[in-house]
Amino acid sequence: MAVAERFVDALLRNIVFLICILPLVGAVLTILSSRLGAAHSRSTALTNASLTLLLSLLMVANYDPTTQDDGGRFRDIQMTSGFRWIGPFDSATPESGGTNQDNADSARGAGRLSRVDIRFAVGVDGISLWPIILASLLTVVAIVAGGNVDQKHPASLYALLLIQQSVVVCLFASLDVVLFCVCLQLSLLPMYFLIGAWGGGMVGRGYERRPLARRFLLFNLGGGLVVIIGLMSVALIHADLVPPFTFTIPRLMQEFPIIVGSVGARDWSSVGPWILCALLAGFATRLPALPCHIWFVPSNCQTALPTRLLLAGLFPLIGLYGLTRFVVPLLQASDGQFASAMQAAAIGGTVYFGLLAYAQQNLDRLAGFACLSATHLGAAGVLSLTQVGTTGGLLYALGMALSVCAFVLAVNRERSDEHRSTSSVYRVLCALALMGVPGFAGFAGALLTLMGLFAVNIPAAIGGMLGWLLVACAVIRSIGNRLQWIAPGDHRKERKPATSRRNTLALLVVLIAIIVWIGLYPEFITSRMSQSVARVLNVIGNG
Amino acid sequence: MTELLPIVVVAFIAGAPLLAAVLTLCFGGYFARSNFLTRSNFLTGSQSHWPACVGAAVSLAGSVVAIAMLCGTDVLPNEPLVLYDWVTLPGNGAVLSIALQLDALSALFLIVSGIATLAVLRHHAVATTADESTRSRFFVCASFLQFATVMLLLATDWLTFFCFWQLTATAAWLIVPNDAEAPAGNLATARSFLAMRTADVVMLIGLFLFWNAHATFEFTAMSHTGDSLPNADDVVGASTSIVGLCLFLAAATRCSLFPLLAGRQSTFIGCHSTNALIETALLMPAGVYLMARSLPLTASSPAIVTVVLCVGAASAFAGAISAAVQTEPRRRLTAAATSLFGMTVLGLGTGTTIGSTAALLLLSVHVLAMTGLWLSISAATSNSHAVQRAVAPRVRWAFAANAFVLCSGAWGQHAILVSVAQRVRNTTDPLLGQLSLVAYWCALASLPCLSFAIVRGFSALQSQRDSTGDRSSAAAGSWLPWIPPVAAAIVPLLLFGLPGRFNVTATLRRATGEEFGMASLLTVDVGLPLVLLGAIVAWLSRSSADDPSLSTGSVLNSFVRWAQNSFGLPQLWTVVLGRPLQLSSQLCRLVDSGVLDAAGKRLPGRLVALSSRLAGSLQAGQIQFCVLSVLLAMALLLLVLTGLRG
Repeated sequence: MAVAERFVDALLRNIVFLICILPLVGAVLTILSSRLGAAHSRSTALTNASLTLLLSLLMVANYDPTTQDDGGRFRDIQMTSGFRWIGPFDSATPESGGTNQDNADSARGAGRLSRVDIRFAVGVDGISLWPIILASLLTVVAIVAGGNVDQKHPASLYALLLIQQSVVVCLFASLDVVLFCVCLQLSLLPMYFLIGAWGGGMVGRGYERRPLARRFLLFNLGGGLVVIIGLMSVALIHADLVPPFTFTIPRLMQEFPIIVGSVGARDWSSVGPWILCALLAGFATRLPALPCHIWFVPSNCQTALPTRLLLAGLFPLIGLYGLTRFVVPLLQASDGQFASAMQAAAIGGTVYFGLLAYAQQNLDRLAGFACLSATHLGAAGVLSLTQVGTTGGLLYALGMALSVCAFVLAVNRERSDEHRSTSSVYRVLCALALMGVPGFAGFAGALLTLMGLFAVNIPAAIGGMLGWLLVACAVIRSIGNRLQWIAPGDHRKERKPATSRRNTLALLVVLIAIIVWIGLYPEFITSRMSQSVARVLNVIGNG
Repeated sequence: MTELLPIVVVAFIAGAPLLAAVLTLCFGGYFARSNFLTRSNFLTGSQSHWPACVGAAVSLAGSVVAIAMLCGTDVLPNEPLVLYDWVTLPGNGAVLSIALQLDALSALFLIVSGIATLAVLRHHAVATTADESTRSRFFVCASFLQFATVMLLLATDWLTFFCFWQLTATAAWLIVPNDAEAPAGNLATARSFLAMRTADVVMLIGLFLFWNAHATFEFTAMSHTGDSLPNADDVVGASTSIVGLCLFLAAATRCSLFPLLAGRQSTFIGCHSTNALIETALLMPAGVYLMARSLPLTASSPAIVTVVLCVGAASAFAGAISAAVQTEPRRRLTAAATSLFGMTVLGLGTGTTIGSTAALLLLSVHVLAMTGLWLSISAATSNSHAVQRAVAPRVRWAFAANAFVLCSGAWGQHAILVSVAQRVRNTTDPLLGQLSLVAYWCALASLPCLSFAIVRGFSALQSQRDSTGDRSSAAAGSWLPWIPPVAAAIVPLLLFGLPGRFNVTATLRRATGEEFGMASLLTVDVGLPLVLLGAIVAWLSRSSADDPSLSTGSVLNSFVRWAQNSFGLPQLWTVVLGRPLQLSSQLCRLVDSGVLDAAGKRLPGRLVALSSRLAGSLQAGQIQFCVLSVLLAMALLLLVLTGLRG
């Protein structure tokens, strides 16, 4: 009994680490099982992804936002684990670094870098919890949806999907800046191969998949390098002021105000904007914000369905996560100096991409631009620097990622049926989710986002509403003239579905159920998110 | 007994339509194929309508039980029923809950819309010849639309209201059968949905302003608006006015008031049952409910009240004129509905007790009678089946009864006009007073035009010419086809409109101390509408203009010549542009010797007494009002269903 309890306890303590590692193991097993045939590769990958999803759900169940530390403060980062990765130069742990004068002097000295302590440390808080769940869920969806495209090197396809999941989960869960940067750059490689090797569908000038893959890689590689420069600058400044040298994200976040306050207005005004610009530019490429968006929609249209799901569902969320984790504390520490301009830029992107979505005839492109518009609105909410707006922005991005994936899945399912002239009830539901109708996840997020924006910047909120409306207009326009859907109870006109279509149908039902559940009860997510958002905004609540 | 009310509210009123929608969505095909009920549909043999009909009936029964429990009190005695906490706002800890509460206003709308919905669903089950997928879709969306409307009516705060407000628009968008035969209707439906979404964004701005001012979305916060205004700064006052304006814009868009009525008519060229459900039973009355609910906000500013009055009056007038010139029956009824919605909004916009009460009475009558008109037209124009042909005469009588109800002018219109006249006299700002006066005359002129339009529709139904929609045949030849509708426009005005005129006269006497005789009022009440009718007739017959004297220009020229001879041109423009009361008072001294007043009082004396009693009972409170509506609704429902089923 005691052994079982210890096992469960150890499992729960290291569950995030397991979620990061398990897909890598699955990728290896998938490659190994390729000799047995495509079906075995697929089942191996699916089993692994399902197991990871199960662990992720266990992680959510185990996450308690009301847990407090000895000081009575909410302990929002939980289930941490890891090991020393680079630089066994100092025995000090990242959280327990001293602040005495000796350490400061030595940190400023020539041997500063010798005290570097880089750890492979992972854990979750209320912000990173949900992207991890989303990554696990979308990987399962992508593997199931990959049934139609796995004729060419199926084992490689599934292995790359699993590697992508592992890297992205690691990125969201990382508690170390170096680990974050490594994962940020590593996340490009599987996607580069997925875009370049598997694809099809849209043809035409500028839509060849290999140039698109190169464009994707170059843009995001450049953006990632800028992010690395910005984060290293923050770490260096921090080491100068509050030694020792640390890359621990929670500590850097917590001490951003000290950095800004200690450097002084004159120095920070000369350095801070550049750091802010670097971080913004880097994460804007990943978001992808205007004008760094040109890689996103073509890649999204050209790639295979599994890749498209991960690309539309996860990559904008990475950018938004970076903004929330690193840019918002800096902005908050500098008294929201550039917040209004950033909100205006984000809202401009919302409206611009809403207009582009409205102009589209192709549903894939429409989904891509709707995704961009939603991400920008979420970014505006995050940059509102209010708890409601930031929570709403993250919730909106999460909900819209699910909605876009469900819409893409539904459109793809109907496209595969040549005899079908009407829309299914599933596609109508997905369209309603994309429009942000009440009862779906998009509405709850949009409402909180706009409420937060409205409290600080009424014109920006009105612009956000306009962008929201434009996406709804685009969806209505795209399906309005073909809205002759049939209920699932009437099977007379439907062909008997093939196995892959049945699987896709099951996925759609699950995705729609999740979207509706979030829409009906967003409290489940926001209650777990709010403490972490408060910490990011330096409005730390006490227990 | 009242402790059972929450269970009744949730389980029956709101839960039954939702359950019906889910059942039809999941098992619609099974219901369609099986004959588990012995009495099958005589047209299709399908049973897929039963969940929706049973759900609507249970919801209506729950509403009746709830209103019976509520008799004798205005508000539910206990706290609102909180279904669950939707979200807790990070930061300030405010909890946004989904909560329900039943009060007299909700109960009235629940009863009226419930009866109309049940009638429409039952009619669609009987009369439709559509294929099974279309039938299932209709009943799924209809049940969901009813659920969303019921939840909207039971909401206790603006957020819950807004959620279900948007869901009603979405359900209405989905319910319209986008068949290939009516692509213009599909396009118009998408456009009207977009217009509603746009208005919803404006409403959301208003709600956020409301939140900023009160830190809550509760309806009860509106009651503090008036108290807080004198102590607050101008920003709060301006914010309240903007909130009221935003909510009014959303309501006006939902009711397709002026100037949106032209674009909305193409939405209703499809299935009659859908039109009845959207236009009269569920969707558009929700706009009136929003107006009624937000009355404390809209009444907070005289400028907004004047805007509401002008939009309502313009809608009433433009809708009536549009209904009179339409030859397609569905467009005619849509325009007539807009006119009645305009009149209702006019009454609500006055902000007085009598005006609001009369507006709600008019809405109740409008919903039920207009539903009857839609269903009668549906039964009369799709009589391909022998049973339908057999019941066609009864259908026409059902149409006639409902048309009579709408044309009579006794169901609150006169009280609305009285309250508008009071508003005119009480307005101190000259510009707002003039605008209110123009609204008053527009509303007056709309009454005979509306009667003309509806009775003309009845004439067309009698001769079955509406099914062809042939304008030239409808307007061909002599004046004979126009005699019944013109007479119908005048006779109800004289018989039923005179009590209203007396009320106006009496009110103006009390308000101003001056004498305003019947002659002055009849000058505009009858003379101007008659000239307008002449212009309409001439315009309609322009395609077969054998007689050039009937052209629009000729009629208008005749009117101008008559007016010049009677008043002189400056006085004419004075009449049209805003000072007719002063002109009337001058005319009174010359023309009105009191004979007309006395004659008028003698002739329809009983009607005057009846009208006064009715107005008195209405002013006593909304409960009596609901009871009256229930009785009326039951009678009309019986009439409609009897006429349809034989």
